[in-house]
Amino acid sequence: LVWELPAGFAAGEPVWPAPHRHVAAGEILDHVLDGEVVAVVPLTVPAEVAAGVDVTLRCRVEWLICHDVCVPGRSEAARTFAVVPPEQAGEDRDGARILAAARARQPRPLPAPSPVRWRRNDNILVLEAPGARRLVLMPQRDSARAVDLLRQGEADGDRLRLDLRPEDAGRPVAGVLAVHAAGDVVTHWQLDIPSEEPP
Amino acid sequence: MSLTRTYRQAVAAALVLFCFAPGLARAAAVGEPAPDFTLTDTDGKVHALADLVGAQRVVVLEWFNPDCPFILKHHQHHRTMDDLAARYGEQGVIWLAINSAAAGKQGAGLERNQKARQEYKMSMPVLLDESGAVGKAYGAKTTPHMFVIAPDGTIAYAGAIDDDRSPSTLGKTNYVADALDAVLAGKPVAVEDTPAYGCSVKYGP
Repeated sequence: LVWELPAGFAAGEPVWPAPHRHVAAGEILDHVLDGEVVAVVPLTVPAEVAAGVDVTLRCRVEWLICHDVCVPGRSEAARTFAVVPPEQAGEDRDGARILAAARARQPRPLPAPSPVRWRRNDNILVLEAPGARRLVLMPQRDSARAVDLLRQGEADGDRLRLDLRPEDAGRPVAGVLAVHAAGDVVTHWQLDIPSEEPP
Repeated sequence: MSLTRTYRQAVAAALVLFCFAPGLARAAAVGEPAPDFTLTDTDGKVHALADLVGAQRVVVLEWFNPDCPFILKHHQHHRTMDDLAARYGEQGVIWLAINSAAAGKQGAGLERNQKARQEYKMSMPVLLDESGAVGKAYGAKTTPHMFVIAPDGTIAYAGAIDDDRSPSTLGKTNYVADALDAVLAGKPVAVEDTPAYGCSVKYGP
């Protein structure tokens, strides 16, 4: 996403929905998004923006869609908004609905008390989510790496055991944990498990 | 629709899809002997890794698919691979592109790869591995997926070509160049293992 914004406006990093696990021929493991994907981009509006002016937000979007093959694409989007005083602002019901649906698909931070327990030592990570039927761990790129994520990245039941690469003991395990419960209910938690030793 | 001072978020909707994440199974491990192979290139020439290792050559393997946007990035929009092959070729480095796409899959076959070598003005040979056996022995997952083999026949580097995972712009760090500099100087490779990025290798079932 490349934004073209009026002076004083700033776009943040997009927040993506939780991905899911996909294994292709040749045991190629990937974590993917499919179908229609909505990423939420935080936009900072300058305090001094004046009511009565029009503001145009432009964004150039480039993407790559892969199924059997990868196909690049690009598009440009622009939308003009009228700035009005707060008391005249109407409710954008369609926008609110899209945002709510998008946020429901994003990984959530673990609440306290946490529904997920973890133990990490001697290069072994054990995750437990009592009551779960299946667990899937999808580490981020900067996470401590697993020895064999293809075979250990998902587990039936409420417990997942992962061997971590010893050279990554100083890195946190960061990523998304999908917890599948009864009735096909899936909750995505954002995990950030500290390193074994100070980095 | 109105925009107020308190309206702080915009939504961007896009169909996206994604490149290739960290966990790769059974990849040929850095520090271990590079799996041996004998493959034929698009000109009919046979390449045996054992001969190159016997001659203590430094070898770069590049997993290749002529129709993958990430290969176009490095062979057409930019000249990453050919420039590096030329620069390090002067120091005796051998660069081999390997296509492990199964027959009938995207970018597979003698004819397509012969044509691609001309289209992209490639100096390096393209070795065909339609069974996928060599690709799987190395744990090659993406095109490109890069391996640097040291003069002692061990894998000195495995992973991405650079640190920009987009299909368009080049990274600031070229991991293969850094690994080659180290190997040629007889020094340890600082970053010897990175997650590869690109299209998936089009293996058969």
